[in-house]
Formats: sequence, C-alpha cells, structure tokens
Amino acid sequence: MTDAMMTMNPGAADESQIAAHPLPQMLDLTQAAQLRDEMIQLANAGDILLDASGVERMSTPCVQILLAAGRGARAANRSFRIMQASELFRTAIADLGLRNEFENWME
Amino acid sequence: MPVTSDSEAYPVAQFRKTYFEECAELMDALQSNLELLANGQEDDETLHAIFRSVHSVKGGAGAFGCTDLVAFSHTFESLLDALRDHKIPATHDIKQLLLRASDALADIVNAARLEQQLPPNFGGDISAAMRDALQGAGQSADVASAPAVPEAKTLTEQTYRIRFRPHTEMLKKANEPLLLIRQLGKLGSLSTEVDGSNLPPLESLDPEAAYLNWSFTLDTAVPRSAIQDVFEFVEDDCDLEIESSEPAAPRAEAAASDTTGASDSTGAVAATVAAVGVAQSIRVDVDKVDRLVNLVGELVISQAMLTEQGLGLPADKYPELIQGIEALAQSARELQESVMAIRAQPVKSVFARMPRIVRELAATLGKEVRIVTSGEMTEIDKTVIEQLNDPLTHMIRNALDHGIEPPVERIAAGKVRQGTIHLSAAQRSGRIVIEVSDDGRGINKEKILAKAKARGLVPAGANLTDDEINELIFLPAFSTAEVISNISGRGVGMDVVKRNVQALGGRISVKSRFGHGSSFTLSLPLTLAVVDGMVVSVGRETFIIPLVAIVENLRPQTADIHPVVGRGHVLALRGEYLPLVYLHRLFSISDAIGDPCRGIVIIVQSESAGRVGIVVDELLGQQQVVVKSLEANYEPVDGISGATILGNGRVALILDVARLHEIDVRGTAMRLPPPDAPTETEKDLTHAA
Repeated sequence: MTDAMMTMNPGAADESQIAAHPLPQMLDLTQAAQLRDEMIQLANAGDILLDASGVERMSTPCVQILLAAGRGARAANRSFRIMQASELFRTAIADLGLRNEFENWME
Repeated sequence: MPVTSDSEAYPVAQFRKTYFEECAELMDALQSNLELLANGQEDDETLHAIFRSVHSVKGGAGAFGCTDLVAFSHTFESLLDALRDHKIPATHDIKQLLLRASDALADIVNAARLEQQLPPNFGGDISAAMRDALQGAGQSADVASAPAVPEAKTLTEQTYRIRFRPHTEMLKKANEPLLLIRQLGKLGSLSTEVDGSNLPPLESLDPEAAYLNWSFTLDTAVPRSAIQDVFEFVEDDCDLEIESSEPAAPRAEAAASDTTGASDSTGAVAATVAAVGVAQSIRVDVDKVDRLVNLVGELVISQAMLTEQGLGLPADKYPELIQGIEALAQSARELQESVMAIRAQPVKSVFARMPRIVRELAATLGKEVRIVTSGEMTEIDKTVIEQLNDPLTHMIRNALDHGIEPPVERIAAGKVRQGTIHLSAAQRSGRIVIEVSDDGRGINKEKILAKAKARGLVPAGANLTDDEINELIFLPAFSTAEVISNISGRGVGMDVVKRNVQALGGRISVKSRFGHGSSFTLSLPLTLAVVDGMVVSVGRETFIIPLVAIVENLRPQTADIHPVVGRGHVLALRGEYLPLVYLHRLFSISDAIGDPCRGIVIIVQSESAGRVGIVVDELLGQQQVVVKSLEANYEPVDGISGATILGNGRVALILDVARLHEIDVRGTAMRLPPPDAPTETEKDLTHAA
C-alpha cells in the first residue's frame, strides 16, 4: 500500500493537501480486515480521500467499513471523499440502498 | 448463494446434483402441463404452472453458471409470461412452439447436467420464433387501446413487503446480501431501504460481521415462493419476513375481470399456504431406499427361518413363542409391503417421455397424431419402471409407424385426419396392466397369415383363430412393413418387445380390428424384488422356477418319452413334442431321479425356447421369494437368473427358463460341486445374509 499511498491523483487538485488513497480492485470479504485497518490509519491521519476508480468487485462487508469510516469522519468534523467511483462501485451502493448516504461523500 | 471456495466444493456439487434432480421433476411437470394446454386446457392455473416450471429451471441454472440454459429459458419464460398475461393468445401455433421449446429445453438441461457441449446455436431457431411471437404481441399491444395492457398486468401483481435481517455471522459464511438484493430485483420492481443504525464505529467494527438490515418493497407477479427461493441458502442465517399487501394497483375492471382477479388472489393465497406449510414429502437417495429394501428382504428371510423352526415345536409347550413368531411374520409382511411402497413410483415418469416421441416421429412420418394418457399415477416398483421405457417406446413407435395412417389415407377411410394413441396404466390383480391402443389401420390378418405361410412359420393348411394370427406378429423377425423404415420394421420388432417383457416376468397380448385399430396389453409384476416361484428339488439341491413361466406339471408315461439321436429326449404331449431338460444332468447333481416317469416334468414356456419340459425330482411348493442378485453377490451364472434364501437357510437358485434348453443343447452348463459341500455361491450368499 505504500506505493499506492504515494500516488497523487491529478484530478484531485482541490484536495491537494492529501493524497488520494486508491481502493483495491477487489473489495470482497477477504479484503475487509485490511480495509478496516487502512481506514483507521487514514482516519487517524486526518481527512480521507479515496479513489474508487479501479474497484471491480464490491461486497457488503467492505461497504459497511466505508460507511463506518464516512460516519466517523463526519462525527469528527473531518472530510471524507470518494472520487471517480467506478460504475460498479456506484451500482453496488445503490443496490444496497445507501445511495443517499454516500451521495454526500461521492463526487 | 453459490459457494465457490475449494474447501466448500462438496456442497456446491451437492446443490448442483439436487438442482438437476429437481430439474427432472420440473421438466416432467412442464411436459404434462403443456400437454394439457395442447389439449385445450387453457386456464390460468395451467399457464401459471407452466411458467413456474420454466422459471424454476432458469433460477437454479443461473446459480450454477449454465449460461445457455439461462438464456434459452429466459426467452421461453418471457413468452410464457406474455401468454399468462393474455398478451398472446394460446393459438395452435403458439402451443406447438411451446412444445418444441420444452423439448429443446430438456436437451439443454440434459447437456448441462452431463456437462456436454451442444451444437453451436442449438435451439436458436426456436428462440428466434419465440422472440418473433413476443415482438408480434408487443406490436398488437401498442395497437390496442392504452389501458388494456397495464390492467392485465396489475391484475396479477402483488406488493410484497420484505424485511431481511442478516444474523451477525451470515457474511462470514460467504453469503453476500448484495447478490440476494440483485436477485430480488430481477423478480419485479424493487425499492430498497437500509437500516444502518446498528453499525458500530470503525474501531469496534468486526470486518466480517453483518450490521445492516434491509426492508424491501417489491411489486411482482411471481408467487411468494419465488421470493423465498431467493433467500433459500441463507434462511438459517437471517430473519426474514415476507408480507403481501393488496395488489399493486387498484383493479378498475368490470365484473368479468374481477372474477379473474379473485381467482388470481386465491392462487396467490394457495401458493403462500403451500410455501409456509410443512413439507409433505422428503427427498431420499434411492441407494438408501434400496439398502432398506435389501435389509427388509433379509429380515423376511430370517422370519421365514424362524417360522420353519417354530413348526417343529409342540404348540402346547411354547404357546407364547409360537404366537410371537406368527406376530413377527405378520409384521414382517407388512413391513415389506410398506418398504416396497416407498420405492414405488408413478408410471408418469415413463409416460411423460412418450408425447415427445410421438411428436417427433409424427413429424418425421408426415402423420398427425395425438397421444392421450391415463392412469399415470399408477405406482410400480422402480426396478420395473426402469425396464419399462424400452418396450413402451417400441410399442408407441410401432403404433405410429404401422398403425396410424397418413392423413390422406385416414380421410379416405372416413376417419378424422389426426390419429390418436391411447396410453393407459392400471393395477389389476397384483400386476400392472399397460395398454397402448391406436385408431389406425389395425392388423391385416390375411396379409399376416399369407406371410407366415410363405415363411413356413405356419403349415400351409393350418386353420388359425384371429387371436392366433395376431400373435404371429410376435414371432422373431416378423415384419410386415412394406417399406423398411428407420423407425421400426427392420425385423427388430414386436418379438424384441415380447422378449423384454417376458424377461421382466410380464406378458403381452394384442387385439385388433382391421381398419379400426389395434390394442397392445402389457401385464407386468409390480416388483422385480420378489417373485412367485415353484420350489422344486433335484437330488439334494433346491431350485425356484418362476410361476409365470410354468404352463403345467405332469408325470409322463414311459411311452411318451422318445429318444432323439444326439439330442436327449422329447416328451410327446397331446400331439406336440417337447424337448426335455434334465436339471441333474445340466448341473451335475449326482443323487437325483434320472427317469422322468418317476419324477416330475414341469412344462415351461419362453419366447426364445418355446415350450420345454424340465425334469425334476419333486415339487416342494409355491412360495413368494426375495430375489438376490447373483451378479452383485457372486458372478453371473448362465441358466440362473438369481438366488434366494429359503426358510431352512439354504440358498436356492432361481432358474432362467429361457436359457436352459439352449445350454442343454450346447452342453455347456455350469457344473455344481457335489451336493455335500456347500457351493461357492451358497457360501457367499449365506455369508452375505
């Protein structure tokens, strides 16, 4: 993840203070524990900017983690943004009935 | 939801097996209901039942990645949906298309089950025809006044409120709500509300636990059971509530439509009751039932042994013991009947295959034929069912090929264009009687007789009755078809049917009226697991001769026995000469009665060997015996069809009467060891018992 953390997304000009954290291609059950640890780490560092352009598989466990991370950031008055969400990411959020809540966080 | 990890591959294989077992039942139901539809039964219940079968086949196919199956059944399902919504009228052409689609679907299911590749674009023409029919309906729906279509739809639609609360552990078992929700979305118009109030802060969140709950509102025409099916694999891992409310849209129709609506909602209630009710049947592996049947067979044998021992006891000394033995005998008999009933199946499974054969063959021959079945629910043992398909297929083909005339010929004869084949089953006196009758041209007795005489099968001056002439068609290689077709009439005709039927302990007969049709009657035992037999002794050996093969028993006079050079003896019986088979010679039994005039001759009849006299020492009695397979317990023995264990614990071999004469002529009979030592077969079987 270190390399990924270094990646700067050129589209994130207005978020220039922080690096966009790319979400893994496969956000399935096996990734959930790692995703939670990463989210805790990112939350501890401050605002969170996620790049969801490469997500090709979604799962409820990972969506729950993102939801908890978003709610946590909101409670702490921090920024939580998801940029360039792939179609698959958006569809999964909508199918799970979470579009309203995620709309605030997605571009 | 399908489980894909290697460690859980077994359940997937198990689910797949179950799916294809269910598919077979669904396809049978589909076939039967389509036949009803084709015969004019166009009510909503039939249409719904047809739709449900295809829908269920499709539902399961998706889970196992059978894409061809899903694609084909999807088009099929769409057409059926339009049909039950009365967007498409059930015309003759549509019914024929549905039948063809059902045949193709059966092939695709079969290929998927066997993981075989079908030719590219298999069923493509049928899919295209179905799409054309759908498109046609779409156009006519547009032309019709605007409210007609939506109303037709809303009449059958219901709104369901579904609450889905996954248990905390559900996700850990690789069950994914996202997939369930998407599956649900395919059933109709879905709106989703999520409750995320249980979601803990990130720090205390278990990444694999389920925290979200959902409420759905689904407008759909599918029954409640289809919704339950979506949650089938997670039902133990979640709380699920499904409530149906009033139909999605108010019904603004006149009285006639109200009637339709009422019957629809009754159907929905019935479906709901069926879905939530306790299962009335369970699925059990046939092997398990077979084991049970075998065990009960052993029990019956043990009981027979006890009864025989009991006979030697003085009744006044051991009244309770003797009473107990009698009670045991009664219970054992009832138990055996009950277990046999478990393995009994309706003949429907075989009958259901026949309409397709008729359809395809009628098309090949350019004939118009319908098949009418009755008594499909008559039950017989699965051992017989398995053997029934071939003779029945042959009889149906024969009726179509030789019986039913082409339309032109039928009209010329003053008949309706379309021929009819009746296929019926019924139980009579402990046997199943199957009848195949047609309204075709019947048997031309003069032609048959002339042919038989020409072939020397009947003496030139013989005077035969009508029934005797009809029976000639069962003679080997007797075919009267003027044109040898690839359907029947290659000389592999009714003689094969008769031989197969006899091998099952059955009989076949024919009645016919020239110009009016023929009727073949097949009578079979209800089971092959027990057989009625005559127990005979030869020296110290005991044999069983199936009762069905026995014509008569007699003790001949010396004058009736005539030697034939190099061929043993024949028995002169009422002007007929029957070859004699000496069992003691055939099986090298040393201390038997060699002279038939001091022993007994049992006249048996079989198709291949005709009438033969079997020479034995003594008749010991008639008995129903439990058949044990020699192949399974020892190895096949020529001239012996099976074995059984008698009340005295000894093994008795069941004779294959059709083979005895031939073995005798060839002189290649198996030789039994001296009767003092138990035979290998006997030891083996006694041990197995």
